[in-house]
Amino acid sequence: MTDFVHPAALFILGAVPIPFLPGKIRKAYLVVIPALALLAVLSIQPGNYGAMRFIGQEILIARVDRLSIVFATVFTIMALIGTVYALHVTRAGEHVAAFVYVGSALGVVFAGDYLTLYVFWEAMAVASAYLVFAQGGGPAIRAGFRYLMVHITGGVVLLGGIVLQGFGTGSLLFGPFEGQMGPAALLILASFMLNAAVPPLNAWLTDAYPEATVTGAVFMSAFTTKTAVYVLARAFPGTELLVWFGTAMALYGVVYAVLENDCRRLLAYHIVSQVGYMVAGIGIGTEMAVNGAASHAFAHILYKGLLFMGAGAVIYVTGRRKLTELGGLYKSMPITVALYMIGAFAISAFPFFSGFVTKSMVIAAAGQEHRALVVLALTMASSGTFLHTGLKLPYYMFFGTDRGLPAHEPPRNMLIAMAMAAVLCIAIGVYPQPLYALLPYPVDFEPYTGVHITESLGLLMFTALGFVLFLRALDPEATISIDTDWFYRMGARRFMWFAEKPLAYWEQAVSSVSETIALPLMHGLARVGLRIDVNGVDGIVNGVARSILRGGGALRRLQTGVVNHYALAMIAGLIGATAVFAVVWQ
Amino acid sequence: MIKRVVDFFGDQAFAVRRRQLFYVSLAIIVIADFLVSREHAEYLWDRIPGWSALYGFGSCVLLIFVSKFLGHKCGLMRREDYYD
Amino acid sequence: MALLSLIVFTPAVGALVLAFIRNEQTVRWTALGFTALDFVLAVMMLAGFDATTHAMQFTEARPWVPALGITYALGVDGISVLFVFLTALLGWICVLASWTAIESKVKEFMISLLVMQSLMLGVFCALDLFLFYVFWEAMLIPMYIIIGVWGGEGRVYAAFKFFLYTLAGSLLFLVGVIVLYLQGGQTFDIIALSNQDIPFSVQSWLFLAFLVAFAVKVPMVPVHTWLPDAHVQAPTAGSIILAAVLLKMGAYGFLRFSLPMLPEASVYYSTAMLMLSALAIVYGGLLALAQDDLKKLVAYSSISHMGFVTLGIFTLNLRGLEGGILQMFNHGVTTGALFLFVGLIYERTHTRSIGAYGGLMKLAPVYTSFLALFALSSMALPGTNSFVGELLVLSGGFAANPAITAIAVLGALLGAAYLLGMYRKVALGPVRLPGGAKVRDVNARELIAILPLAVLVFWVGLYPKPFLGIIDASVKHLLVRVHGEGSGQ
Repeated sequence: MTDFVHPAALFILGAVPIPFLPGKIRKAYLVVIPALALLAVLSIQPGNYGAMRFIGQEILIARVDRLSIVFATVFTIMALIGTVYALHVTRAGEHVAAFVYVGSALGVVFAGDYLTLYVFWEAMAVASAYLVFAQGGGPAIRAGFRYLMVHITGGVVLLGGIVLQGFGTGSLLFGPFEGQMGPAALLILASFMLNAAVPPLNAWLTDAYPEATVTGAVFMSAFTTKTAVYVLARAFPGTELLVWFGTAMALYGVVYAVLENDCRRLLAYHIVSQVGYMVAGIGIGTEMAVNGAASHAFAHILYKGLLFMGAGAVIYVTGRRKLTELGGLYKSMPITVALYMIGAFAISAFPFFSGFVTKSMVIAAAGQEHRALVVLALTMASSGTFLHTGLKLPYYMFFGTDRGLPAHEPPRNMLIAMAMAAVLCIAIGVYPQPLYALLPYPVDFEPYTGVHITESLGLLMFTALGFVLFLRALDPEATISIDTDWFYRMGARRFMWFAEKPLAYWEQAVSSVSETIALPLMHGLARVGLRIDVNGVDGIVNGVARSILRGGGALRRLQTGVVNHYALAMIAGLIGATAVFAVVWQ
Repeated sequence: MIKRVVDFFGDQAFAVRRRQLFYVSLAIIVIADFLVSREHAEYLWDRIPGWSALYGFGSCVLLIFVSKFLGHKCGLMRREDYYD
Repeated sequence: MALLSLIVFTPAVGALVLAFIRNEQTVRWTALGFTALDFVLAVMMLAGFDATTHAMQFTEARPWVPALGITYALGVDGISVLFVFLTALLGWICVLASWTAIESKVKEFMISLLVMQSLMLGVFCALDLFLFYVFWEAMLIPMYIIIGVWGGEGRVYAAFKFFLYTLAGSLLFLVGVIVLYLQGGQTFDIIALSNQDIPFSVQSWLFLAFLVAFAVKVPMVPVHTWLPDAHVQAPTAGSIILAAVLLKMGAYGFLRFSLPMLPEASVYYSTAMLMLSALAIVYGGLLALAQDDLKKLVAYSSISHMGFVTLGIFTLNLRGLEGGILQMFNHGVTTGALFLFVGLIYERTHTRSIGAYGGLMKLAPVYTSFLALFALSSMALPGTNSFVGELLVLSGGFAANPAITAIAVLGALLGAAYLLGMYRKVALGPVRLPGGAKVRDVNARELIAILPLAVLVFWVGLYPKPFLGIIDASVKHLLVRVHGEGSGQ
């Protein structure tokens, strides 16, 4: 199999030496691995690899086709960028976790069967949870715990669906679901939607991403949700449900973002919003829609990464994350501001930036299918996106009230990584052909028409007008918003109370049954046994029995004491009974 | 050079200039909207020049106020230590 | 050569030798030597095991009490051989674990441990019903002594409770044994009895009688309450061997007796057994969640995991049975390891309260890394041993009874909750130690005890084929016996 090197193997096995490499060598190594993986992905040939059997099931480790290639490509590019961004981190654990995370994501993307998918899916959850735990401190650890529990629950649901699927169809191969959706399909859909952060299953994302490490969040923003988008595209294209969820998602994220004060949480809500476009596109299911979803995922990974990198740089340099505490940084961090704004323009779909050539494809696909409501909603969400990511966030972070924070540009590796992403954002926007060539279906879409350009500019610039006029109304407030995680956070407390109080008391009571009921019963039985003994057997046994009887009287007083006597009495009774049997049976 | 551009957007000194630039660009966009060809327009409203400008502004306002309403009046926003 | 007799009695011989040794260190090394030798013999046996046949292998038979038809008969098949291996493996691991934990009466302790080892091996190898019963009963005495003498403050109560519960169950078992002897043609031969046809009414009664005995051992809810106390009070090695081997005997009883000898009754009661299993899974999980005592947490998790085992067994289909048996093995490995870890930390800090610890990751990274591994294994993370077992059990379960299996899946979630919660409190967060304790990382001896278990976690998780291959033929034969011809699917 020399013509196929699974990129996941490169990352996962490549993670092993990391803790053992010293300083500079490690840094070089860290960059080499994603670069190699990128080469592997770029030279990959479509086909099926690694068909084997595991506990009696057919599995297929890798199925390479256009859909998986386009996702794998952007994953490896982002891995490279993210690694460059994290080069300054000295703790090996975070690098190992990031590599395992990326490798597992690639494993899912190439998975040909559900079992392989499940293994990598769980690995992703654990590895990414590490990135949250690594931040340390009470809130991060608790958030990491909640994150892991939510994902494990999703994993269990997925496992249930997989087992049912295996039963129902006899095959675990991973492909589109045909016809009616049975319980297996619904379970699998639910768990995919969880990882894609479709409301109401989105709270884990907005809860955990802001608590992760600065460098870890960059990785997390890219991989978990986009892997979920990939599996949705593979298994559920054309599912009507997804159109509505996706559209609702796009607006949901934008609404919550208005209320947000933590800069990374705001960006996390935007992930929810942008993924909504992709989910809606998958739901629409036409070739253009799926193309749109895939290309949007591609662009999104890059510009979202850039945005998280920018916000992360601010947090790294100032130590603050709340908009109410930031401002006036443009003087000391101009390059960061500029690079961040490129990401902001990209996400807002300004012409000549990557978002423009991808987001419009999804909306156009919706238009082609005559879905007016979807088009209007997604367009409104676009306006909201620019409002928050391109206007509100940078204004309050970089401009706005100058709080005189001591700041400087972040370390060089972070700037280089941001620049790499920024270059790609512009390159794709200006020259989308290479991206279009990667897409699963042939592309019949021309983004740069006069109408498209003026429409976008009109939408965006007049959103800006609204921003300027109503600036005061947008001022951040020092609050948190409660999302659907309220249910399980409050619920968990009630649940634990149940386990700790009523249930534990019951258990204690049952446990003491031996003292309150069984023991006296046993005493009684032992005495009966003794009496049979005395009557049934003569001679020496009589003498022994008499002394035991005397001891038996003392038994009452020795309630908590000499255990050996009880044991002796019972064994004696037992032996006696057996002896009786043996004698009688001859 | 980047610093100069960023400063342009940040410094108070350029406030008036920024505002002028902004309104000029808004005007250009609306005018351009009238000039482009609209054969492929899918929906009724797409045929109206200046529609997206209006929609953009409207969306922005709607989002700001609906969200703030939901946040304040419907109890979505809470004090920071709500869960602790 | 009589390999099985050698394996069964080597530790007993070692115990005898130990009686003459005075020096404590020599006692330890001799005990280690004999258990290690036993392990080597067990590996040799495993290597020579023929996985293609369901018949008993390495058989020995010698008349013992001809008048009653009792023979000294030993043998292993696919179902028992893995547990002989597991017991032999844990023997020397327990000796290592007790190296510094047991400070007084070391000789007596090692003697008890070795004697118990012999008796447990005997249980798994016995092919004569009476011989089995002797081993089964006799095994209680050294366990009782170990808990009662070297345990914690409440040890007498716990030991007595353990003895009481198990004996109560066994009394009924004895009566059942006698009835079986009479009904089955006046023979104690387990193989012969497995091929007899016993009338259903008798089967039904016998099943219930055996159920009492085995259910207490497994333990199944609601006769499980002896386990948390026994575990908490027992010394580390006692807990390890109790969890890893003793609990398996209950399930082994089902596999060796209830299913082959009482097939119609087993089918009849299978749904009830599945329900009890699901109850154990959820109940054990919930109570584990509520625990602050580390040992009690692992004890309740054992109840939950053994629930999966009995669930698998009573699906009475190929996947479920193989999964259940594999889970028995996995549980032995993983929970044995978890108790080892609890013992290690108790040795250092003398408290088992989870609330008293924190941030061990910084003080003892090797310890916490391995702890993470075994916690993840206990949670059935893919790639670890329990995942394979659990997957098989769930597959079998869904085929047998989807509703009950769905409840069982919830139990898997609870497992994640309490294990991760425990790990978070113990390993992560700010460093916190109970008053003035010093925590040092694992030393070489402890690492040697941990490693084989860690290796098995990965081996079974990633490449379970050899293990499943060993049990396959015997399980298929068992299924034929339970369901009739043509059902080994």
